[in-house]
Amino acid sequence: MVNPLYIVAILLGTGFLLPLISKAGRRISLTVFFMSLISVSAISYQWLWSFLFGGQTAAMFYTAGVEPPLSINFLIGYKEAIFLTAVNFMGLVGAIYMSTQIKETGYKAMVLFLLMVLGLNGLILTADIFNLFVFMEITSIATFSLVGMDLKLNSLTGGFKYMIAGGLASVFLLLGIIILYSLTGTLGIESMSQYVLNVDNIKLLSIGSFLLIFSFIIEMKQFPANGWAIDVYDGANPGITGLASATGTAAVFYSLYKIMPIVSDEILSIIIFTGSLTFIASNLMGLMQTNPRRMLGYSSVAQMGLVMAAAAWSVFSQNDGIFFTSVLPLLLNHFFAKAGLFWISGIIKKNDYRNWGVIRENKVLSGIFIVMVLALTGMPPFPGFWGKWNLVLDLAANYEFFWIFIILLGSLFEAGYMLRWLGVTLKKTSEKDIIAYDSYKVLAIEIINITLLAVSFFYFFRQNQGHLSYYLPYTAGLALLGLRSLPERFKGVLALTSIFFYGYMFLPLQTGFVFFFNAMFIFGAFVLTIATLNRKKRSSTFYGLLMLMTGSLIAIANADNILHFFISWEIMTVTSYLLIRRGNESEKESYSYIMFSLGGAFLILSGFAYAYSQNPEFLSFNILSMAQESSAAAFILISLGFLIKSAALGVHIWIAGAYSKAEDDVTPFISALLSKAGIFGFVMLLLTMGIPKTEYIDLAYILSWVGALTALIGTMMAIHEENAKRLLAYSSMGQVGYIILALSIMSGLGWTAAMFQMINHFLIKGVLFLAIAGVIYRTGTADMYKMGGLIKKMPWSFTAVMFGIIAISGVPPLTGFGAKWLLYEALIEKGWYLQTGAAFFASTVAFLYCFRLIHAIFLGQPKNEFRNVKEAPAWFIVPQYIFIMVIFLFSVFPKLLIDQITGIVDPIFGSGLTWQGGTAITSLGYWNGTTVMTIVGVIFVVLAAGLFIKSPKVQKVKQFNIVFSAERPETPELTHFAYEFFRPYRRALGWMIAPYAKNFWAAVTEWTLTISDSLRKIYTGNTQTYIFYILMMSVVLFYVTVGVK
Amino acid sequence: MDNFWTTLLYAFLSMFLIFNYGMLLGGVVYKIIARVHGRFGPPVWQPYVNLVKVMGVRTAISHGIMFWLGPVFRFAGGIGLFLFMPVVFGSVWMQNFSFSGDLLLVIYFIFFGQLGMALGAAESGHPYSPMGIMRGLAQVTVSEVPFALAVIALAAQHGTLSITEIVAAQQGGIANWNMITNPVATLAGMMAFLGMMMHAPFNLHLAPQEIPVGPPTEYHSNFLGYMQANRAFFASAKLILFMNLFFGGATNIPVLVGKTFTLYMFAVFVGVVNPRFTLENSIRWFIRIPTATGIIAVLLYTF
Repeated sequence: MVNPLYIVAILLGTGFLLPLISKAGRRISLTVFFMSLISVSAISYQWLWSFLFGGQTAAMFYTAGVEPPLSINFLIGYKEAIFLTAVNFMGLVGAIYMSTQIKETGYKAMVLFLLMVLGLNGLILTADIFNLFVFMEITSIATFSLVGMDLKLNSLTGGFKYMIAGGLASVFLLLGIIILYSLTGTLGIESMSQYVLNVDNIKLLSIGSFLLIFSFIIEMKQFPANGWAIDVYDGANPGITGLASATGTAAVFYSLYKIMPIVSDEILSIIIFTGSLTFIASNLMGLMQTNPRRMLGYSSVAQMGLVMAAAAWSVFSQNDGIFFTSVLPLLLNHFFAKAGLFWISGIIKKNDYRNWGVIRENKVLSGIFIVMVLALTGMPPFPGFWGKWNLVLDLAANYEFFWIFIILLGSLFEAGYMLRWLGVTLKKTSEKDIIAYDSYKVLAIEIINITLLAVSFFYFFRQNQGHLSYYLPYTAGLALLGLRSLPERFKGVLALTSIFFYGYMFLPLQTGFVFFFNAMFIFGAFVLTIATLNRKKRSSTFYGLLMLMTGSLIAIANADNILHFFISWEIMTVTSYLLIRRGNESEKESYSYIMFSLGGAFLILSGFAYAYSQNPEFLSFNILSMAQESSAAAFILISLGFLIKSAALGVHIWIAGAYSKAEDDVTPFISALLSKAGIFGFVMLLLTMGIPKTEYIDLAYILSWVGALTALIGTMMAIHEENAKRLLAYSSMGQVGYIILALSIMSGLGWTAAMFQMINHFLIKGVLFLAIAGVIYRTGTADMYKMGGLIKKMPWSFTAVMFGIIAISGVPPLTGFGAKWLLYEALIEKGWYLQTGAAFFASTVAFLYCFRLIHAIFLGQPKNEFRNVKEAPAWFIVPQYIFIMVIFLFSVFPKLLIDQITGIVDPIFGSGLTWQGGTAITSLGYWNGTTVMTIVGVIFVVLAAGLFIKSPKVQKVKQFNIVFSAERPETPELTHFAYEFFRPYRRALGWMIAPYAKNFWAAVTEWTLTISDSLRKIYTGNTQTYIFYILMMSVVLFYVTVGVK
Repeated sequence: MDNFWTTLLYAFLSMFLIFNYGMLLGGVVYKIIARVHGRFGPPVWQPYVNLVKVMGVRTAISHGIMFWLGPVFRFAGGIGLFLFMPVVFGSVWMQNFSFSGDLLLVIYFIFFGQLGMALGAAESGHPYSPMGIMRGLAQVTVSEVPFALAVIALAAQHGTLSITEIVAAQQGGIANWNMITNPVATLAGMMAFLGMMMHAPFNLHLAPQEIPVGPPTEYHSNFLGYMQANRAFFASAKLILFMNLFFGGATNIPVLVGKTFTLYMFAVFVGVVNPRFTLENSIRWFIRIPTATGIIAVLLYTF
């Protein structure tokens, strides 16, 4: 093995020689510069390799073979090798990124750069606490010189602030080292951690360790002693910032990690405390930022807080495993993503995130940008996800719930500003801008991106050994993302084939609810994908995302443990967000969607963690059924998450925006399929956990009211919408409310009703949203009052909508009645009479929006501009009629569907339904769908035939041919009565839909932002203020840990 | 199949009876309203005259297929509603097709004709048609609330949703009628009844005296004939429903006539002495006292 001392030798040697070499020309000096970086990378990589595969053990090296203190000693172990490789790799890529600038600045920049890398290597390698100080100084001096290299005001002041803060940190560090040395008589980090156990003067010892740690708290830029750091991130050259944020913090972090064993548990808890506080405070402050670099700065600081706290936790709880499963992935995630994003900001150079739409001019960069932002927000499969997951579970196993709360809330804040930024870049803006793409910079970013993906997949495989087959449903989506350049329709056909193939291969193997949900997802996705074949515009990602989302739904239904469930849940959230964001002007709405969804996901995660804390050995769903002690708490958390996804009353405010702003052929997927994911979650939860009943509250009863009121208020809101898609969105909310209500009954009949209603809603919303998509495709508007009389132009769409509304309103003889019938029978059987009343009210109010939908669009008088519209394309019509055929099948033979459902439900709850021929019988009543259909059909046909025979010569008149008040209106197209259709209803019952929830969430947002804004005002930009904070923080923390007695 | 054909035969027979009963009832109501207004009024067979007249009109104008189908929907809804209900308790031949479904089917089937009619009338393109529909539908949604609560209370009381069983439970004298055993539910149901019978003060959507609004605006000739014939079925069917639910049902035809006639007169009498509510007024009225009564009726069985 190559002696790591060569790293120092090479970097230092090259650094000293460069002034000389530079005389030989820029090209040669640049070659030497890169050669030295490559060789140190090679050395560290070789070490890592032999640790990983060669069975290498940790080794100590001394300069000139002399023992310390006369020599410098380096310790290289597995962890050191990882950090060395990462830092040197990043150093090399950073040099590539900055190569243009380095070339311009000359050998001075190269020397400083090499010195910085040297300092970082030394920090990682040194086993001697005094040398730690020396390398810290080298790093700091080199870094703030590089920060000031640009000779711009911002970077110079940034460098100055860094120097002052760094100087203070050094003073603390040196004092700490002196005290510890005087007490233990050694400078070796390892021996010091042994000797401190024998020190008698505890007081002095804790003072010494406090000073030592506090210097690192400054170096790690912890809140509130970190104002200077934000200014540095903002002001310095992005190349340096990226490097400093990644490598600098990584190396400093690692040296802190090394000395953690020296200090007492008390001081470790202070690290955990400051780290968590920084994580949440910085992310909170980031919310009000508009400058991307400052956003990244806040995020950097926050991430370092989290990593530092997690590392202290691993030392504190003496769990080295956590270092590898959680601390390291969190750090690496930050390491690559943050560097990449800072570097991208060095190309785009926009100081306001709202102007970042220009990044779409470069497909490669915008793709990488998406990857990195998603990585930073902790989405799977990026390392941050695994780190957070493992950390949360480990904390749960130790009952550290408050910390889980802090981590998840901080993550939500971070996602808040990162995704807002992402949202801007996902859709092209009209703004044109010329961006100078330095090819070296782009190359460096691409390298980082590939490495990030490689690390992600490393962790992915590591965490999923033996479970890879679970991820099969994602292959189609990933493949389609890879085949992005194929023609659109070809990709569509591939998607259809893959769904069909998957269903054909795997559906027969499944049973129970898994089969039931999978059948719905697969059949639904197949039929709905037909409509997307109408797309003409090329899109590189549409089908990939669509299939990933479909895959995630299937995977959710297939999940066999909480980890798989949660991963697929997150992937579903992200892919659906990206799909919704594809719609025009969807920025605000999709943002609201993703924030609610993420909040819901975090609630689910914390609920899982709660349950896991009871049985920390398993990940299987059984832990939910075994969680006795905390089951109510876990149940509430998890079900809140599912309620958000189902847009239950109070957390529904995202639904109309998200549904209406998504592309028209995507909305059916969201409404018909995606909304069922929350239902599946409930099924999974209720099957394992049941509905806990505490001494004071019956959660089932509460859940039933949530469902009933969601149904009622959702429907009430739907009738006042002018936009067809918003109307249907609220209708979806109401319909899903029935399902929740039915599930909460927890009886055979109730669950039969829930499943029947779910299938019913799935089929109907497929029809209705597709029909509306066809109408919008032809007319270009979703505002119903702008249309009218389209029945003559679009008879097929009209008929589809007519069947849809008959089925959704619950009028016999179509399936909707079956759903309502089962629901009421189950509710009355249960004795929940008032809920029955509320559901009944909701279902009658549904007639209002049903009529409005069909009347305003298809009936009444047409508008002039739509006199020549054509029927919607067959791509839209065909899938609608496939669904309608299924609706008719289940209407005539409801037994077909109900038998399927009771086959699954009855073994669990016992049978609530018996059959006598075609008649379904419950304890209360009976219903025969077949005879109802026959009787109604016969009467209808007889009457129609009678009318036809009686008046064969009907004179057909065209539209506009009307008379009222004894005159023919001159402009009959203006007589279409559609706008504010139910105004009297609003006057009478408008109080029911006053925007309480909307106002509440607006207030929550407002308060959060206000706190964020007030908090960030502490960063005045004034160096003296920053120094004051550092000193005050030292006093406060000193008082807390050491005391003044 | 023998069973089926007899059922069909009986159904036709009861349909014939109920049609004529409904027509005559309509005529009587014309007369009563006229007398209250101080007029002599048309003869009781006037509805027959009207029907023959409109069915005899030779011209027919259609605005399109839905317009054409609207009255068919409406009429099928009326007949269907009647056919899904047992009419005379204990009689073999007045059971209709009540084996197809219970009370919930009957309640929901009320909407079948209304929805179909609404679609047809809206296709006419006449602005007053949807205006009337909007008013009618909006009122139905709230008048159904106390009715539904009353029905739920009955279901809770008797543990069944089968109309036949509910009627059976009320046999054996007036003391067993739900009117006596469940007065709160009956009160709620009867208040809802006022809204469902479309007499004043809840007849804004018909507004027959001033401008014509609602479905009849553009309908005429055979279409109107269908709607008029339906009215006979629909009104009687609703009366029978209420009689079955709250007033002990009927064991023979004279009792049926007596009870339904009395019931109808309740709505008619309230109507003739009251002015007409605006839509907001009637919605507010239904959502307050009748709904509160319904909630009390339901709560009595919850606790």
